[in-house]
Amino acid sequence: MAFENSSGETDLSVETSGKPVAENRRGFVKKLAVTALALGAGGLTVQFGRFMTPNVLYEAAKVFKVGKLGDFPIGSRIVIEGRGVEIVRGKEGIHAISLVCTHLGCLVNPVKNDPEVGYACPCHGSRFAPTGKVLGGAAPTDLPWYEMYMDHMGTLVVDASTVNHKRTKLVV
Amino acid sequence: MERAFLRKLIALCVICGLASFALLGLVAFRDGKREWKDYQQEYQSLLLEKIDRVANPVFFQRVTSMKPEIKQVMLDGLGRVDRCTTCHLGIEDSLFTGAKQPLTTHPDPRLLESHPVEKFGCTICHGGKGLATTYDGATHQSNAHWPDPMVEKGFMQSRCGYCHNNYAAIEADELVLGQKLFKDLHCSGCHKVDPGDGVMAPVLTAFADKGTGSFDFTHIDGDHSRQNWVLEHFKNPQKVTPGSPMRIYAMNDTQLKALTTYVLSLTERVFTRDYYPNEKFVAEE
Repeated sequence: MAFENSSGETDLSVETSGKPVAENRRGFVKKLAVTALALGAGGLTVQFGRFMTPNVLYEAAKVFKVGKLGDFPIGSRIVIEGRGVEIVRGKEGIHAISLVCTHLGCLVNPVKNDPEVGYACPCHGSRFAPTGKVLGGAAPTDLPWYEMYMDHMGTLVVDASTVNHKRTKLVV
Repeated sequence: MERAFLRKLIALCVICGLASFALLGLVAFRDGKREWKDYQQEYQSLLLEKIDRVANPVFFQRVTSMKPEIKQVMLDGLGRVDRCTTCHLGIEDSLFTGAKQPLTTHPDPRLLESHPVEKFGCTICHGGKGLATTYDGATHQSNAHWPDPMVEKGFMQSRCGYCHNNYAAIEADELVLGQKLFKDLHCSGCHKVDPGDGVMAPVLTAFADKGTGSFDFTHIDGDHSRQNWVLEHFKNPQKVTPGSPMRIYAMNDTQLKALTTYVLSLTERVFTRDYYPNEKFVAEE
């Protein structure tokens, strides 16, 4: 202990007397401190940013398979149970339309006996054209179309996280 | 003396503070590196090699812009959430039959056709931790500290019995043999499986629902897994459970395995109706 203490004292004296050495050392320590602080602050920022955008949410996957093309004959309208979308296939192509009413989120019913009306909401009487355009009732906006694609195995996949604003049909 | 010592102490404190702050930063950066991200990048590059840009430009574009993300299957009817497909990306994909783990295709695509991943997930048959996204976390190896680690390959048929009653209809040969052995050796004289069976020995109606933790592995030499416990127990009941009145039954390895598979299929778990098969249960006379 005594040896350590005495060496400490000599160190201090060197620091005060030998100016260039002290300046060098001080600069180095400063750099080290700034680096450590920057690293820590950067890490904190990164972690906080990641916290705000979680890796995954506790909800059903937004991208889901709906079946093979053969399951959807031309002229058919098939509701995908549990997903709130309807797959409509016409001569020009196929598209996925949301069945969630834009008013308060009830599931709308497909209407099949009226060429003007495609969907009707059982809750507050909103009506939508077959394209999803709102015709009347409480709903403020049209029913969105979702992006759809066919994967390399020929399975049709709906991506409900991306709205198809242009309402382009998937040509198959 | 005093002052010099204090200075040293302060210097030490400052150094330690800075070091821990630097470590905090390092940990934060390292945390972003996960094994599933590497697998997803590997999958992306493999898939891009296999598919044709001209034949399906929309899909090619999607694969090109793929970002690493956790994939999960929510299974409300089974009360599970499976994230296995985060790494096992090619599991339903016939293009990946030759790929190595974890990207390879399921060894029995016929099973996946009747049990699509989007409806059944993985852990209902394979066991393991569905929520985990690391190799160890998902308990790929037997683990005495997790109630339901992954089922070993040789005992996979035990999981068929969770929902299926008619073993012959699904060609589950191990379960057929195991059930026959259970009957032929008159196990139900003491062990209750069905109403009316004996109750002198431990009831087995929910044997498969017992977690790994409720088994005593003190006298087990090998793996601390449920299947190994049952196997060893059949070989020598007194050794595994000292004082047990159960005697040794002469069985060969195939029979031992079949009977183990059968008792590990005995469950009282209930799933929603749409998970149960349509085949009729034919009582054997």
